[in-house]
Amino acid sequence: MTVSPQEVTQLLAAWREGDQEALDKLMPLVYDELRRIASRYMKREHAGHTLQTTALVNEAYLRMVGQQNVDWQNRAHFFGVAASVMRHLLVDRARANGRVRRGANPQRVPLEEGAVVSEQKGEELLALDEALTKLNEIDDRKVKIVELRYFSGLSAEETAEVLGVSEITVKREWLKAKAWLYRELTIGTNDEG
Amino acid sequence: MKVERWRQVDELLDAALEREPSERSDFLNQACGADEDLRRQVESLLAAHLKAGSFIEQAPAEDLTLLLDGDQFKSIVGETLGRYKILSLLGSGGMGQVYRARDATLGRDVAVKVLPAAFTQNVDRVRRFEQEARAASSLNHPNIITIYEIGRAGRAHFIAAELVEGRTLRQQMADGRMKLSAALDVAAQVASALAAAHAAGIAHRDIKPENIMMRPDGLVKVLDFGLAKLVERQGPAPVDDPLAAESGGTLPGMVMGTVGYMSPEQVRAGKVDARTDIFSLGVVLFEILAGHQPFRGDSAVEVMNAILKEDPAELTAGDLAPRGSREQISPALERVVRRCLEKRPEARFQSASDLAFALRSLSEGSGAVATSSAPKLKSSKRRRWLTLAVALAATLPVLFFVAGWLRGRFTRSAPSQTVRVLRLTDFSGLEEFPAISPDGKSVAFTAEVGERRQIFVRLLAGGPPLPVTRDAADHLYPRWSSDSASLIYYSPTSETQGRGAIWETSMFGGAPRRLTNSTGGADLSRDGQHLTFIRFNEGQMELTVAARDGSGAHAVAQLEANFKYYYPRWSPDGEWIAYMRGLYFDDDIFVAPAKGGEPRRVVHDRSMLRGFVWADDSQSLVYSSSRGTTMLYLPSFNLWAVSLGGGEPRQLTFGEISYVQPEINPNSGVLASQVQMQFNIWKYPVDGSPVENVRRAVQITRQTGQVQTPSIGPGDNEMVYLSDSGGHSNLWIMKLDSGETRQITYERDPAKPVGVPVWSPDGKHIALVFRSTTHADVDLWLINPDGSNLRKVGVGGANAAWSSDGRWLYYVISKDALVDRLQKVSPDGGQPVDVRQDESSAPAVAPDGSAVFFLRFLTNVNDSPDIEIYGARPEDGPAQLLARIPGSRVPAWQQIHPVISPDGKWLALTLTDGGVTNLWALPTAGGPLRQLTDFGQRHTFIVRRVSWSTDSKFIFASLGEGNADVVLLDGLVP
Repeated sequence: MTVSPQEVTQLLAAWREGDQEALDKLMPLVYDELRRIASRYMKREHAGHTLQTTALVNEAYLRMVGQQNVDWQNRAHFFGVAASVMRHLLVDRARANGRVRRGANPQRVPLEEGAVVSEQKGEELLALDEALTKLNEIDDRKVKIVELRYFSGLSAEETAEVLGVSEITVKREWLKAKAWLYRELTIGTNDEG
Repeated sequence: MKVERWRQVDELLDAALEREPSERSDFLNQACGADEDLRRQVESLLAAHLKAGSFIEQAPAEDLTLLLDGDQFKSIVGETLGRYKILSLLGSGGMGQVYRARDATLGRDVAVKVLPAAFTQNVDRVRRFEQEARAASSLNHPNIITIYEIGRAGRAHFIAAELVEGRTLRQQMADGRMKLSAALDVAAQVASALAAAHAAGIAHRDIKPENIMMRPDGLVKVLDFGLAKLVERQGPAPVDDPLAAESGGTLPGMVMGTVGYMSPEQVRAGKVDARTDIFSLGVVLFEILAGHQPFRGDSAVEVMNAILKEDPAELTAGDLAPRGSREQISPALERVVRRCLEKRPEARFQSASDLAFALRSLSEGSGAVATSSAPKLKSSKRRRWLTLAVALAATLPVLFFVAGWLRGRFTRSAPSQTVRVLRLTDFSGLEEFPAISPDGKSVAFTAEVGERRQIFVRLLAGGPPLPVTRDAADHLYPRWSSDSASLIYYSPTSETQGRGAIWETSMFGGAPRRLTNSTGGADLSRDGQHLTFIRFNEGQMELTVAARDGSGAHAVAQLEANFKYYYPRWSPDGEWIAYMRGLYFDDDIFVAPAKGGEPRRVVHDRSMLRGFVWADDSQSLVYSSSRGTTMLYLPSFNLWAVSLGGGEPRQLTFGEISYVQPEINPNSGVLASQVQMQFNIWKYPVDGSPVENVRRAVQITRQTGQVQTPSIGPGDNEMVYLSDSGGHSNLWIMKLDSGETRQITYERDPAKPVGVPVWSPDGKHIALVFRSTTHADVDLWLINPDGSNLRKVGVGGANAAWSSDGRWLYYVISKDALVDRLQKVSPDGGQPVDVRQDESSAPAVAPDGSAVFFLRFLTNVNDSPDIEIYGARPEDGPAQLLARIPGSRVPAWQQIHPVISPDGKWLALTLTDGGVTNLWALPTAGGPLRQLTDFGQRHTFIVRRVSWSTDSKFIFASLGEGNADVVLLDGLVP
């Protein structure tokens, strides 16, 4: 499954130029790499034990693209791919958890409240995912921003860098995206928009 | 169209947001004109904007590592918090995760509760929590869990507490197996814990079945004193408004599961005191007796409403209640429960000791009091002992030293029993996995036939072994059916050892029948009705139980990812299933209830294990462990016995002959595979054909002990190597022309192994790894060839390799790093320098310094990781893949560390195919692997690192040949 940095660079470039297939090829590769890093990380002892999302993605970027090919545009697009991966991953996990909880073996359901909270969180996540898919039909830039900030944990500044827009734009778009999504999830308007 | 419309909305929203909220309405009137819909859209978004607040501002997963790693919970297993090494997750809830952890300083297992980050962000809250937990930690009562430490490490706040082996009351109630007397006893013990806490001015505030632990001996332990304060809201809420509490739903922890145990004053967020705990205990007791809570509702709000306003439900025994308890719920007991559940605190029992007294009076005559008082006495004794242990902690280094010295002197002495070793098999090669038939007449075992292991059976009374399997697969872990007529076994697929299937074959021949897929072996219950096996099912490792034919498979324990699981064995009484779990060179044995439940670790030697067997009484295990050996790379294994009731394991066999895969014959003693290994260092030419290179090899050492990991000094005059001559691994140097040897390190402590010497090309230093303190990882050390100036150069480093000018020592560092990474350090001192930022281990440095070669490990399910070999030119340049090695070819118990030839052309490494290890070379310029030796069918091992001669024409390697026979240790009593 390992691909050379050249291949990754080429795929990123192709995607930048609008080749959707390149993204489809990249996502599983990035996903595998993120998992590999995370898995190895879990096997080791670490003093400060929270691995920041950005650090994780950076690590994956260095491993897949390499230090020699540092090109901010590539890096930006790589983060874009990673954000989509994170979103899919979280949503899949929420879905799977829902299945497990509602599954056939009630004894295995954790009884403490933590589980209840995370199930709620999972349902929220699924709803958010649906809303994002809907928003994407009319305003894909906002969705990108939400993915980068919410799912990939980037700051407004980093998001701006990734998308090649100003930080002010990111902040403004973020507020509007939040409002739209909030309305979608709470009020559930079904007219246009 | 839709998109255009949205643009319009979006732009107006922008413009409106730029205006002051008060001006927005006028602005929209103007901008939208008659387009009512447009206006509605923008207005609803503005309203949403104002309400959205922190919506989606916080990342959905705090630690994506865990998510990516496939853990359902946030897990920090394997990490170290303060002096606690986190071993496994015990439980998880709103108040954080609880882990089993090892206290390295005191050498005991503890429970470590890690508080969720959400609770620790508020400094004031953390301070209050710490105060409270400190107060609780001063409580000294047999029914209150002992808190050892309240600490923080990095951002994590944690509590280390006494590890209670047992189940929560919730788990107990789920089984519906409590008797009335037991229920009263539990409640009385909790009340007695509360009385002690209340006397110290501490209320629990969160009494519920999850916080009450029951040990198998009946002793009850109350957990989490004072913790509830952490989740409590500050400031009062409007009286009689349950919604206020509900809308405080941002207070984590205060949700569905817990509300049923809240007192009316807690629901109102009023003043809480000791009597709140009495109410909650009343709810718990009610629930044990009735099978449901006294205040019920479909939602948290309804439950809280019932707590405030309604009378408790009638107390009758429900379906889940204690057997036969209906007739036993006396009016007196009902009065006690009702009095706990009074709405007004002043109408309840006024003290927990009154309640305890009332409960004890009720249970008198049932015998419950008598049984519970005995463990309490024991426990207070244990407490004194623990206190003593803490007091002794300061003097422990001295004790360790003395114990180590004593062990070093005396462990080789023979056991006092008379044991005869009777050889049952005598094939050349390895005979392994003995299995005694239930009728006691036959033993099944595996033996090598070509590259595969086949199963044979021989009668204990005599006669030759007869082959049972003949097919081309590998065969492992034979187990007998209850009628002694057939065998089940595990066959891995040829590609990887991790996946395979369980088969059954008749002892009298015939085609084997496939029972089920499995990843690590199977066992039959003694009654012959059930099968247990390890399988990988929908992304999850599971300990599985099925009907004898493999049908109706269901998981009895979900197994944590990232480990290898194998060798399941059913206890003779059918109640338990034990299995092995491995990671790198560390194996453990776990025991899980056969009916389902949390597995418990029973063997944790920090060593390699090679099989185990249940004792006939199902109370203890005999297992094979490398514990105490100091030759790390091919250790010797001895048999040990451990009681499931606790206590230190007891050593059964001694010495350098290994005993693995024990099996118990109730009539005569213990069977095992007896392994004898002979190692010597050889010098192999590399220029001929693989067969020729073996034929022309020259034997360098002639020793009976173990010699491992040679490293050739400058000018090919001397060789440094590891030897266990004298009973402990130490470094020795041999003059190659005369064969004269000298010892240069003198370690004697069995807890401190010495390993892998690597001579610097300039001849000045020898690098080695050494564990200098008990329980720590190995560190990188240097020593001069004359044995002087032993010094530590790297903390946690390993895999040493030199630059050809001897100015840099390269090594891998894994501590505190995201992944293994290469560093280098000057042998003359100074700070380590990072070589690479990305994952890299097992370095080899090009002689001209232009490149570095290294490994990366891939992840495999239930198997050893595949390995990739990379080159980077320059050393911090992009990594180029040179080769990928399947994990199944990595020699057993070994790690691959390629060694570069002095001419820079080849990387030498060892690979195993079908039980035979050979030398191979990988061209540094790229290209396929070249085989250097061919040992044919000989069962060879090459231990770890090899070494090149200066002219790159020879490789020095430690070659081992093993033989293993099944033996009966007649008279050995486990």
